[in-house]
Amino acid sequence: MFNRIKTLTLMQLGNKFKKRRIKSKKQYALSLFFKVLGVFAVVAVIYLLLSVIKGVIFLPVNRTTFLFLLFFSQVISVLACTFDLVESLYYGKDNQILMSFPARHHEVFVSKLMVCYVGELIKNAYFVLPMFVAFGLINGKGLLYYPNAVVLTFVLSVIPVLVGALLSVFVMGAKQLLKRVSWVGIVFAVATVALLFLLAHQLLSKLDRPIRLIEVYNAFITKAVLFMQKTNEFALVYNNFAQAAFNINLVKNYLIISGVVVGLALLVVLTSMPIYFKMASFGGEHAVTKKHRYKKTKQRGVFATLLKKEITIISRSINQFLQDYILVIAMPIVLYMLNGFYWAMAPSVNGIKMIACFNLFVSLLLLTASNTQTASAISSEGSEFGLLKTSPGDTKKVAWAKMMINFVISTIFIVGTVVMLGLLPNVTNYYLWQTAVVLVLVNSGHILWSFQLDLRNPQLAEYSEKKAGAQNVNKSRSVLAGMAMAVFITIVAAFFMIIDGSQNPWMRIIGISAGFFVLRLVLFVFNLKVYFKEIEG
Amino acid sequence: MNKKTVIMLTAIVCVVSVILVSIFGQVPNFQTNVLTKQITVQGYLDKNGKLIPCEKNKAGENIIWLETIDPGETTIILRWGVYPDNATNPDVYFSTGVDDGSVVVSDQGIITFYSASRTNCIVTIKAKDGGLASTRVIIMKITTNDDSSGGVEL
Repeated sequence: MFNRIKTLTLMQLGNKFKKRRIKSKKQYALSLFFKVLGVFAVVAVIYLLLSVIKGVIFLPVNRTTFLFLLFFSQVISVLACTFDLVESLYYGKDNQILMSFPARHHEVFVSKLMVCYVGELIKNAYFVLPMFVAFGLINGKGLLYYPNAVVLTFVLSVIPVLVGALLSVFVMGAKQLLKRVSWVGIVFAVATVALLFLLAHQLLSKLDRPIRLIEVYNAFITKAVLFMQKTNEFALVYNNFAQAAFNINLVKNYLIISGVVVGLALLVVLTSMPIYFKMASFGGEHAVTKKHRYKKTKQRGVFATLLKKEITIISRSINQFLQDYILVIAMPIVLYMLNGFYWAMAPSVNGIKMIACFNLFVSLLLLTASNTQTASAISSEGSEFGLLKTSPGDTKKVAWAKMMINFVISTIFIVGTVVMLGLLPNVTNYYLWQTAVVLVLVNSGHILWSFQLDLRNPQLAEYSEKKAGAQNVNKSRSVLAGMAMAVFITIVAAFFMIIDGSQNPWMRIIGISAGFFVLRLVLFVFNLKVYFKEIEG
Repeated sequence: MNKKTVIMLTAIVCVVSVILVSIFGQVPNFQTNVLTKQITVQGYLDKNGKLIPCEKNKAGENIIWLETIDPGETTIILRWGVYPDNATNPDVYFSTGVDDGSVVVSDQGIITFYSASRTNCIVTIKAKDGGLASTRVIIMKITTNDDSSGGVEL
């Protein structure tokens, strides 16, 4: 059994690290040397940071801070491991091959946990181990502290994997539920947004106005120490790790840690492992019982038909829709919080101009980053794009139908953001609607630009093979173009409002944004005429 | 370049923008200059944020008793107040007069003991506004008759 698990693990690790396969011993030694050098570099960086925290900010660098950082990093590790394991255990493309090998299903399960453990160990070698060493150096710990830290790093990496294996079952269940009952996802998203908005509102209403950051610095540092001490009360077994690292009740703490690891392992063996095969086998299936009703189909134009197709696709994959537009959905809350802080500081005339510039920058960053869906609109059709092109009618209109959805959603959230900002107390003479016009124009121009990127370089073959997991270079280019536009428009706004001091800066900013939109529209129309017919599905 | 990069960049921009607006874009504080006249030490906060009040010794000085002092572990957060409440600059300096690193006090009144041999210290608190207001607080480990480490004269 152990041999089979070892073989399965090595096969998966080989596949995972195939890009970094090393040929000669010399190359291996060199690679190892650079990795160790990397770890020492991280130690140096953390040591410097801790020295600054201790010597400049005067926060204590003791076991409390160590435990807080350890706990925080491990919470992130547990979440990352959970989602990694959901993907690898239940949606892994290698499942079909691994399951067909002469090995038991639980051996495949254990091998996947081993692969996850190796990944976690590598991550911890680059963060947790340097943190152990840096804290040891700062607190002048003895020589025995360091081998102990290495042992603890090995043990520490087991916990997120085991907790992740347990939680992955629940996450998988939730994913299945969201897939089958799509409205649950919408309700969950709406409830989350409403809750976040309420929290933001509560937090902002508690602020003492006007905020003077320099005056509240001392109170902030004091509260930071109290927050760390309070959080550490929930650190559970990580408290034992911190105590063991600092040589407090070493044997007792090691026994508790071992007990927790064994207990978690038993829980995984008794709960997640037995149902693994069943969940992995049926994870990708989605049976739908359709009731066919005979009805007269209304005749629609080509554009309306293609638009309806896009709406149908969204309604069938709400989760994907939420993933695509998460930044646009978050935009109103982010800007509400940010402006709440800005306006609680009693801004001067210059301050109001700075606020307008920062609002443009943050909104454009979030809006343009959400246009990645448009930057893969053609590619995501995969091999079915050929079928689409065979439809009778002007199929070029599919481009407009696909962009229309993005345009409408973005515009709704831009208007929503402006309305929410208008609700903030003390907001006066705030150029909100001018900001909205600039956002709509620049975002629409960027949507056209993103689609053009995919039009000129569609990744149909890639998507045919890998579907949602495919990497699309057009998405990266779209994000980069969006960032460039956000920086450009912010610089233009800052120039006209603050540096140049124009009488009517907004007309100029809107003019430049409109110019950008018209330019992208003309370029898009030309590109559509030339390249659309050349795309082969 | 992906969405994660944008999220991180947005978070950084938000923090930096708030700092920049607070420095360059705030209405100045036009209050007249009111000097701090008196500093009072109310006590210290325990790890639950509960205020433990100071005691007074025979000389009427503030004194804080600690049951244990663990090097690198014992951290207390001083709570102080200034009179009048509307002092223009209510900030204060903290100093211990100890420069061997055995005890460190921060600008926020956070005192951390880093050495087992250190069982007491005197923290002096002075007003930052250039006035003469100051006070001091004595922090001492509680000693028993059979504890040979305590009993240091101050």
